[in-house]
Amino acid sequence: MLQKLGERKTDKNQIPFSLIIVAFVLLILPLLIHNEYIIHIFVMVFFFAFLGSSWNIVSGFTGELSLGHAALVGIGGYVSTLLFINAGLTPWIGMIVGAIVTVIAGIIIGYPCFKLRGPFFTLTTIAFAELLRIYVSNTETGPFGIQLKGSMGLLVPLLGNAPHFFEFSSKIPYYYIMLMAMFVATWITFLIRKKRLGHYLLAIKSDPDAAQALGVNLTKYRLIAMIISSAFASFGGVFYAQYFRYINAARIFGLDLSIEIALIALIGGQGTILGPIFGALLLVPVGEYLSLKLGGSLPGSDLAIYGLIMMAVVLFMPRGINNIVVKVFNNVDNFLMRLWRLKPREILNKKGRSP
Amino acid sequence: MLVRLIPALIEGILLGGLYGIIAVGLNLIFGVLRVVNFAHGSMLMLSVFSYYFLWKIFGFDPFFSIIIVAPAMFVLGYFLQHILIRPLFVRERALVVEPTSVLMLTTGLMFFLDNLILAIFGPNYFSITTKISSSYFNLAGVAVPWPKIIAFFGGLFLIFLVTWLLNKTEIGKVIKATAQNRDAVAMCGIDVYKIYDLTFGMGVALVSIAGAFASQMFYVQPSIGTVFGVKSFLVIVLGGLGNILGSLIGGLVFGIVEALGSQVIASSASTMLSFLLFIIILFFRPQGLLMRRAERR
Repeated sequence: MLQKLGERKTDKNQIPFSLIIVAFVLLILPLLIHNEYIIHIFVMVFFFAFLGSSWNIVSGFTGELSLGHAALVGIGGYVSTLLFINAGLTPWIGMIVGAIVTVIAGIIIGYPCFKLRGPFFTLTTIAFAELLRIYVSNTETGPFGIQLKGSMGLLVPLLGNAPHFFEFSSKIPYYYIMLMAMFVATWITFLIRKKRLGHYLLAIKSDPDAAQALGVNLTKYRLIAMIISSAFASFGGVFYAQYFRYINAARIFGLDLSIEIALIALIGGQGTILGPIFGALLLVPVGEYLSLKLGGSLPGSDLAIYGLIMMAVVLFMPRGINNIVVKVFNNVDNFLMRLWRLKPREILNKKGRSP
Repeated sequence: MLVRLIPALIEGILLGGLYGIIAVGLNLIFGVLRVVNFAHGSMLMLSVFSYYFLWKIFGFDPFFSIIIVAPAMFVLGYFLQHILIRPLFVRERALVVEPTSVLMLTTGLMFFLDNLILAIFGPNYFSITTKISSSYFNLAGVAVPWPKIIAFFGGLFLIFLVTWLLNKTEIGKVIKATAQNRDAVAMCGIDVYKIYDLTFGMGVALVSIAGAFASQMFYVQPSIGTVFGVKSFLVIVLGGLGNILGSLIGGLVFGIVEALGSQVIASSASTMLSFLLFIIILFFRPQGLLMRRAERR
């Protein structure tokens, strides 16, 4: 693309103004739209964007594809729910306990996995997640007499509207909680990218040997990324349990969930900040629409089309949609600026003031 | 206890042979192309369905159908690699693209194929019953179904055939060489991509032969692929990447561990054991049982 003289190339990690407008719209959306189903779709979009961001921190930045992220999500969900059911502990505190357990699990999983590269790493993450899934699915009573309930899953006590116990009768509080979570995750991803950790991780991603030669401790930084990612993932699990009021091993530890999370982050753009959000905005509604239209008549056909989409994206848009979407938003920005007779964005510095 | 163990052991060995053949196909693909073919199980599933329909419509015995299905699947594999996966390789050479792309591609393929068959045929179970599949052989007081015995020895023969092919024929040596160092092979003037196409086709053909055996041992249903797909990865890691004999050994070990394990603990838990074994092996001996410490390509 030709660049006019004096134009500054916009940093693709800079947040366009038009995107902030979108964020604002998302904030006030529940006041405008009262359709429960649409609100639910947005909750799911935020949920997967959040989990996608969490996956991005460990896999997007390090370049090793983890297909066992559901393990971390599931541990958080199960720990919190078990504490809720058996000890009456409110999930607001339960989630902290869950996060701690998940982080420990993440370190235990991460340590052997990070010794491996490429497909071996992926296979090992799958093995861990499957191990957990099979164990929980087939165990009625676990160690210390904890009732895991096997494949029946855990039913969250129905308390109606109980904010102190992370339960709400309307979908709207869930909407805002997940929206905020998504913002936080995105912001943390942005911070990581900007600060030293992000640079170390990207260095490890491009060439681990060179990074090591420069003195970057591979294991330490990968584990740090894993810790942050695990903490987020566990919150996702807790939210899932509290939103659906039911959690079972097949879904929450399942390979399907892991693949969905990875796919959303990859389609959005691996290693980018806003990628997971874009990926979720694209895939979640499409998935819902497909299962709505086709799931009943031809079971499985919706997933078949999902598979086709996966292949198409990998073949034609391997970098994900992030760059294209950001470019679109930047163009909208420029259009708006010219519309309101403000200077074109390229000459403004980052804070929005003219030099 | 011991009395229960013997039939389990026999079962494990025979099942292990089947795992071995399926793994050999995957090993070939993984070893040469370094592609994690998640769709491998789907290939098995497609071939199993083919055998079923050839039996249902024409009355062909699955063992006979091999001469129809195997070449067909070879062609399928050849074109899958040529059309879908080759562009990723070409791209990978030019840019720095994450190798995750092939993984995602084969995963998407798996989703597509598994659910396409599910959508067309529904989650119903079918089964093939031929004269051979319902007859038994008496081994030390245990009634062993004939198909399993044929599968085991057929598999052994197949594996030795493949090993001979790789070591004694020109094309086999080229394939082995490509597995070791694709750049060196390219420098010798060989079209590496064509070798990839060929190898992928071979791998799929192999698994389709395994499908002939599996179609008589298990129910014909869309999810038959998923179960074997994941396990075959565990097997090839166990045996050692790039080592054909290793796949057989790995398959046998795996089959025995699973069969014995399901006597001692619940059968689902024995699958857990396999995963645990997998993780332990990757941690302590990532080159598998039969390989020496691998050099990175």
